[in-house]
Amino acid sequence: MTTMTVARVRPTTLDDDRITALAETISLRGELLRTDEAIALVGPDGAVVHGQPGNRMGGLTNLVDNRRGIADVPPETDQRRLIPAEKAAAIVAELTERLRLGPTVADGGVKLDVRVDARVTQGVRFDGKERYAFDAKTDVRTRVLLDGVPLSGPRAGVSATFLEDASPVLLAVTTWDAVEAFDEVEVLEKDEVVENLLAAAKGRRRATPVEIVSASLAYWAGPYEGGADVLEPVWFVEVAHAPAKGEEAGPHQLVKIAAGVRSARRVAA
Amino acid sequence: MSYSIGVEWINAYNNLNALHHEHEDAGGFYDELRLHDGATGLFNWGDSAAWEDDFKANARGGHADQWVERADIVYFTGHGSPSGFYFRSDTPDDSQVRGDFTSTSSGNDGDLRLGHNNIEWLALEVCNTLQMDATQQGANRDVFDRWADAFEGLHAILSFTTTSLDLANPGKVFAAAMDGRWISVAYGLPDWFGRSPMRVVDAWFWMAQFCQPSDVESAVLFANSQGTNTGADFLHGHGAVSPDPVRGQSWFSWTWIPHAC
Repeated sequence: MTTMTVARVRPTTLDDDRITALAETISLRGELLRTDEAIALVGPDGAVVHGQPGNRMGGLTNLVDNRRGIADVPPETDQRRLIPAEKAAAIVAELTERLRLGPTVADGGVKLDVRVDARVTQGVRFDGKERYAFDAKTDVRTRVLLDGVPLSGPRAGVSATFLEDASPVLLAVTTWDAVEAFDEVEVLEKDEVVENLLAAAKGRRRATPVEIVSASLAYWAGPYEGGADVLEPVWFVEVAHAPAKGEEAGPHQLVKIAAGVRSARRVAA
Repeated sequence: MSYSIGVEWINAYNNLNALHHEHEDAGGFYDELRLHDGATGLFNWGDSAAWEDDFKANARGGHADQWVERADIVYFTGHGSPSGFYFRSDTPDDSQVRGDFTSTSSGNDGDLRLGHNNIEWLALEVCNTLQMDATQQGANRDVFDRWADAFEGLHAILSFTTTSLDLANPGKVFAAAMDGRWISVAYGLPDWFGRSPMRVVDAWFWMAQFCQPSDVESAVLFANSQGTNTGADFLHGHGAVSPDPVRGQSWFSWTWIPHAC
């Protein structure tokens, strides 16, 4: 059976200076608010919030600029003058480096890799006759891989959306001071996951048959739920229902299944 | 301004895989806006009480005028596909609210014709409904073919282009992003942290990014005509709301924007 590391993360603590500096990147004024669990700067134009260690969103910083809207494009306008993707990626890199935000260099037996994807996302407008593609926004996504397996969930990587200028309209970034090996678990093989899902679906009377479209392994960076703050392996499985009469394709469904079944260390001991 | 809301959800499908969190998902939306934003809750129908008939246009034999048309914003959560969203098969009228071109190649067969009464926004927390391209009746029917004629004053449909997880929190998070209480809801903080309301579209994108896995993509489809700007809408009471887009004026357009999580 394959084994995978369960990683423990240690979310960073943000102080007044870092949260204020981040707010200044969008010229956000507001009141600085603090508890043991979080620090925030909230104003009429937007907010910056960070979950301190122990918070359910420990390590996650969210910045929202409410003065501008992603879809606030005058309908008569054909194109937005967006910031180019490379420039947006460079701004995110500079910002995260200067404020020491984002995934850290891992230690303690795990390997972290970061992949940056920056692109201009196109929308499509239809006037009743023709479809026109237009530049809607510039998105930067920093995907993190732990021992080669992607992290997924609300506390994973960096996500930034830009419009016309150099300050993001939305920014979410998770910062850990450390990522270290916590446990080793045996993981369910893909075939076993698929077999279990199909068997469960077959057991339901009257339901339409299903087939598996894809199954992929990831680490789930979800809300912190107490105890050690860990990244555990999960399977994401896409299931397709058979089409009903007169239907071209049936509805699909995404299912998240815990992949780790038992501690490999305990088994070994 | 006071406003009205309605939600429908299905866990106990008799015709498709059961879901598990839709009552919390829709209930979270309903309770957030009723209890924390003064919204009037018109309906919260689940499982056998959630009907396709509540969404289907009266002109098509349904009773949308009596239900979804009366609310300013309606939230549905259950199964979805490019052709529509799904109900139990033993409830009126049938098991799917269908888009156009989904049962015949000549079109004009859709169930949704929304916006001649209150409704501005329809949030569909379901898989694939706003996928750009889809094969229907042997031909590619894009998101405009399938859903453009649903807009009869409706401002926006908010949904996903991909599959998405069955989760308990999207409804509450989306509602809190619109009413500004997302700081408290997302981080579990006291209300004195204050409010920061997002536009409806931005709130949908932010919710998807906050709740769903990284490979999921949300999307919005909104309509405009002369003098409107529905993409900039805030929820009532939190900022400007565009006038309704009206068909038959000098121009009318639909805009689709995706957002990767």
